[in-house]
Amino acid sequence: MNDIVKAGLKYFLYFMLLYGTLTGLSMAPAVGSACNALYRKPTAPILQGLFGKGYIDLSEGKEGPQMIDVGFIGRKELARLRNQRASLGAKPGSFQVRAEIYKVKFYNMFLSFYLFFVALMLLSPVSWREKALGLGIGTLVFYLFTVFKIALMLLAFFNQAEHAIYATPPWLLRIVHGLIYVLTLGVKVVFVLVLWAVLVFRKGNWKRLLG
Amino acid sequence: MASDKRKRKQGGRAGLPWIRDRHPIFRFLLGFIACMGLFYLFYYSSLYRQYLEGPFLNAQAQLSNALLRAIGHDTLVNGTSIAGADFAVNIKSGCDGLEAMAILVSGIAIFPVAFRYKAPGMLWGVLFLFALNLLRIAGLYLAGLHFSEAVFEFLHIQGGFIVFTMISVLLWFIWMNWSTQKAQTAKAHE
Repeated sequence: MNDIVKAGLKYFLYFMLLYGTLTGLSMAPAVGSACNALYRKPTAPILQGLFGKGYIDLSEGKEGPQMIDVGFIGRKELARLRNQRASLGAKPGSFQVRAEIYKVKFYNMFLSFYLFFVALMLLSPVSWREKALGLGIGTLVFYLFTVFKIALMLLAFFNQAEHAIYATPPWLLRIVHGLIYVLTLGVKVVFVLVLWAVLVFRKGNWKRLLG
Repeated sequence: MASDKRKRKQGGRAGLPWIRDRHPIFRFLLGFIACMGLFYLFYYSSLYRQYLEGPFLNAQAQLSNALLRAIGHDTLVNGTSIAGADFAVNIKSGCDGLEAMAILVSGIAIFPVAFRYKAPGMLWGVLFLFALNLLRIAGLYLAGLHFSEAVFEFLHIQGGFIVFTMISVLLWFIWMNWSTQKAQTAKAHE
């Protein structure tokens, strides 16, 4: 029993060291900004594709890399502003509009939990090739999971009366609200754990782990 | 023809070694996900939210407050909040440690050993995590009192969800190892 506890504590210590280092690095503004930009790059076109009724732009939050600002404006509103400008005799061409902002906590949404996944994968008792493969697949799956949650949050937000960019059927909107309510930070942790277990454990290493 | 079919069948199986190698793990994980699903059904039910959550969070606030008072802090409990002169923490759903306890209990419940090995694992594991969560709440109060809001928020998420969950997983692995060895020893004595 003592051997098991010792091995467990050793693993936990390694985990804390690695996870602590990764988290510490991510707290450095330059690293945080780079991660934020890396996340936004593929996410912006996905969200723009999902929400065609509005113009969506993602930028780093004014508070720092821990936030992502989702700027948006409905196409109808944009057309109204364009017509208004035309009626005032303004020349056609590009003009600035004040977009509304929806704030996403980037660290809570993605980075903290992703680093948790990375630490789990790197410390797993599998070959480096399997670790690399697991990291690749896991990154994609977890990324899509978080984009799914952001999309749900935006859909609910765009349905609010003051924005009214979308008018989703009430029954579907109830499901969307239910999913947002259920997909908490705790569920995200469970998702990461299950993802890690699926990618890492096999008959052989499972038996070895159990002695 | 029959030989071709057999070959195709064998080839088909050989094409899925990744899944075949993980078959028992998938079965285990499905059971685990089902148990967690049952937990979340209860956790988000109106029965828990309306009648049980308040008293449970209040009990945690009272016990964490007792810890803080024992080390000389003049704090008071109001509902689910612990408040001092300069700082207050409010224990909300998700900060109760129940999800980490559910991970441990689900993992133990689904593991194929006799119940006599499961009961102590569940009991001691839940008690340990409950006590640890009280320390975490008291620690968060101290972090909020002495450090910035950013530090508090960082410790809240990292310590609250990720490290706490990791401790739960660690306990689970220790228990699995312990129970497997106990069961093997008992079988050898029979």
